[in-house]
Amino acid sequence: MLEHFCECYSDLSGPIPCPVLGSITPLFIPNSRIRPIRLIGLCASLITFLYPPVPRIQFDPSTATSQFVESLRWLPYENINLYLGIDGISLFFVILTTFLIPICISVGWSGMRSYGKEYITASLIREFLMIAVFRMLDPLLFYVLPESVPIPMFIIIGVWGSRQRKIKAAYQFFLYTLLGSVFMLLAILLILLQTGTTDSQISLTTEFSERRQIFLWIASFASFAVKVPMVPVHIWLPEAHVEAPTAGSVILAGIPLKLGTHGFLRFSIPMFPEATLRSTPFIYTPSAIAIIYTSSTTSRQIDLKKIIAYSPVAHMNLVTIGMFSPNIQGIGGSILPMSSHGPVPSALFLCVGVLYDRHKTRLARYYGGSVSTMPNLPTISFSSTLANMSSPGTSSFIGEFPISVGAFQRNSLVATLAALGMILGAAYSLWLYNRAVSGNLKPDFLHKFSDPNGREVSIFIPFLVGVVRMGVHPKVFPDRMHTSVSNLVQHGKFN
Amino acid sequence: MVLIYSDNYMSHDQGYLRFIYYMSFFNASMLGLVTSSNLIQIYIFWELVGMCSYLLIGFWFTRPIAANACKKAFVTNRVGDFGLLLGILGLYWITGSFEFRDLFEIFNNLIYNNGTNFLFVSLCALFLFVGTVAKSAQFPLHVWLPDAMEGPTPISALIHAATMVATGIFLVARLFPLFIVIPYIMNLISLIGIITILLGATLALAQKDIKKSLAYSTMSQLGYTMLALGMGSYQAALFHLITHAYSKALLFLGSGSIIHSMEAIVGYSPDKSKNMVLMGGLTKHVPITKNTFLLGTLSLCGIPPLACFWSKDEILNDSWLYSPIFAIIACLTTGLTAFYMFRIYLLTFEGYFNVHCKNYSGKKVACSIQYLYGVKKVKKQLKKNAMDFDILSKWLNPATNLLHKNLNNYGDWYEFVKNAIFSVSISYFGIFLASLLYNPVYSSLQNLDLINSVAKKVPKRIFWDKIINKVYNWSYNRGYIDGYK
Repeated sequence: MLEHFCECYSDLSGPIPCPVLGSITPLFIPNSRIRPIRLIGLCASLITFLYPPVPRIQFDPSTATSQFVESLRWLPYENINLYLGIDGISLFFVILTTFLIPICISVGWSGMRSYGKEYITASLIREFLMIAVFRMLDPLLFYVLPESVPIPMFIIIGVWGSRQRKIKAAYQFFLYTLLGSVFMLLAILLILLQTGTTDSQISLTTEFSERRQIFLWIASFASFAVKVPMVPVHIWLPEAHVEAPTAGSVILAGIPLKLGTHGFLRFSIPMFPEATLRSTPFIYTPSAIAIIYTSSTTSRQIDLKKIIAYSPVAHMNLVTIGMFSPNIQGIGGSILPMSSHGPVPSALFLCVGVLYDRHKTRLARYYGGSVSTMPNLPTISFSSTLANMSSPGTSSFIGEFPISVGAFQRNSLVATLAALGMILGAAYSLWLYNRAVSGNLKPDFLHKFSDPNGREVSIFIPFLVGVVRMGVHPKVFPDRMHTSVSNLVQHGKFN
Repeated sequence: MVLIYSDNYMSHDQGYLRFIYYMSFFNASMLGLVTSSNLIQIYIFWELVGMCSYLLIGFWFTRPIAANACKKAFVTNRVGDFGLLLGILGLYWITGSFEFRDLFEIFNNLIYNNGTNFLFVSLCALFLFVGTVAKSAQFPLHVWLPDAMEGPTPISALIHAATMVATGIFLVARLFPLFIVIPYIMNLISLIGIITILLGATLALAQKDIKKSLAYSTMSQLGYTMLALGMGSYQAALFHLITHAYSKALLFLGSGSIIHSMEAIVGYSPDKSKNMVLMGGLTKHVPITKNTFLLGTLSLCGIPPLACFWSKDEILNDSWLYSPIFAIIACLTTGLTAFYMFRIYLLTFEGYFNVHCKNYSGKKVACSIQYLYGVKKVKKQLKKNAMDFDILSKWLNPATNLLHKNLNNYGDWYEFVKNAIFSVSISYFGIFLASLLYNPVYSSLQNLDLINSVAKKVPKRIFWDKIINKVYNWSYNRGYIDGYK
């Protein structure tokens, strides 16, 4: 009886209908009764959060094949089915997603006065899509799902954002991603034509000719590069982050940023190994440039949120450098910052969100000496700043170190430049922190202060715990991922 | 011991708990660092120590100067960490291991069999050394050390005299077998060492602030240690590190109690309380501090019975064997060291007190700590004289010693005495110069009439006055040179 229950429970289609139900239900409740709407939203997301630990416990780390696979017949005459499953790499992303969404909803708790149910709806649909993203296994879903994720984001930024510029930012965000992805659609259609089916197992084992591989690789690169974001097309990121409401930034930093690198990991590298090897310099150059350029340009920003928004660019580019160094340290090392990068900038955005909540301004020149009046907030933001800087003891370091090792073995110059980004990262993070926290108060601008209250501190705690735990005892993560990653490396015959 | 001192020192500070917390964290990181067995662990604790220094230097965060100083320290350290990381990665690529034992074996094999590109190997060692340069405040990356004096005095004593700046030296000593097979790096290490020595000594001459001059003195002494490492005399370097740590801690603690006393008089503004110009003639007020401070100063100048003499002498001897130019510079700087140390001492303690004040009695606990240090120093020199030096060498288990083929050659007393006399005489000369310029005997109020009468009787008074005026105008801050008043 219990086994049967566990079986049903572990059936991974749980996390899919749950948020959808949670998002549909509030539509029936009028907007004036905000409390039940919020509660329903929060409960739905919490229930969804309860789902992933079970497969995590039941996960078998010794095989590299996907587990808990389900398929859905979609267009039978084209032999297109939708496959969903989890393997070592996706496991943590699913957990991360379900972890972040309840936090988002509780962050936006007080901001939901207007259009409350639309907010819940959008958030939960987004959650459903994102979980599906990390579990997708076939190429068609690779197009559909990551393109659908920006849609709720677009709505959230556009409606609940904080300034006039939000409309422009939302459009930029959406259109950039769409433009890149159109090329990806071409690539998928080509794969479909060649293989005749969208089953990922078959696609993985198909031998594409090298010319075709290169074309397919570049087409999918166009899509993923925008999402990563890589340097020429990274503009949407600071805009979107700054204009989004706090909860929106938290989730934006958490998940959609991973879509690009996740796509590389799942799609480009396994399917087009020769093209990957050939195009490694093509990836390395923009990534290295991105790390140095964004870290430098961050130092001259005046908006607190923009400063924090640039750091994911640098981190994600570090991840791509790691990913394209075709050894196990590089690839395995690149997954760790992806999962650690969820909590870290999200926590920083929350800190800034707390400040913004109180003072309604994000310009750095108005802030100073906040540690005298709000002692708890700087403690939390110091830990997050340390994590942002990849200081040892935090999860970012655990990721950055293997990436450096892997990259160095492939190309030492790029590894040098990436490490240079470490210094610059420390410089701007610390500058921001120091500026806002130490020094003198500026009573000309800010009069009233209040420490983060209980709700806000309790939101921070899971982030800090996660970061420190992963930093101090990271053994758990590579253990689960190891088989999948080595399978990936071998599949590409990279060694 | 510094913790006990800081207990009393910070007892009036409302951030007391935070201070002890940070100090303990620093202790833990430092211990972790010295007990690491592989490079990754060292790197982790290296960065943690840097972070602790950020927190401690910026302890009084409401002062903008302190906030800027801690940022500077951390970012400079980060530059070093960048170098260290690259060096570690390069070594991993070459040897495939992070553990020290394996690293040395494989490395030596590779070098002797010409297995790797020598340029690349030198580059890796260079990067590792960059980490040290930043952490131990050597020449290009020394800029954070004087600003780091914004922190409370106990942490200056702990971090910047004894332990954190020793981290860099520790790394070089640990990786000594790596560096020793690459002659270019050894030359570079000694070159940077010597530049730092000279730079620190000359900068220390011009400081108004007591802690800053002690900071520059630290920089200079670390340069000595680095020079010794670059020359290959591994034990001398570590020995000097230990003796210097003791002396410097003593001096910093002494200065801490002086600053506290000054605060009672001139107020809590750090600019005024640390300003040596306003001090002077504290002898009668804080005699215990004066005695211990004198002990520390004498030790650092390299006066025979005390501890630093032996270590400094060892380094100077080795430098004669290594390269005459370096030796000349090092000896000159010994004189400079003596000069500025005594300048500090004399400005602070002798003469008449430039600010009208009431009596202040030094803190009892602080004084007892300083006594303890002083006693330790005396004991140390009794233990560590030349004959017992062998014990230290057995402890340290040196890998090689390039310059001394047999360690028992200290039976050659004549040689030793000759060198010793030379270096001690240079120190005495420095002390003499300092007392000449800063000697307050001529400026005490009671003697003013005597001075005038003496001056009037001197025949070529006008000429002498001209010289004095010229020197007076030329000197940077006239309040200094008491002797010409």
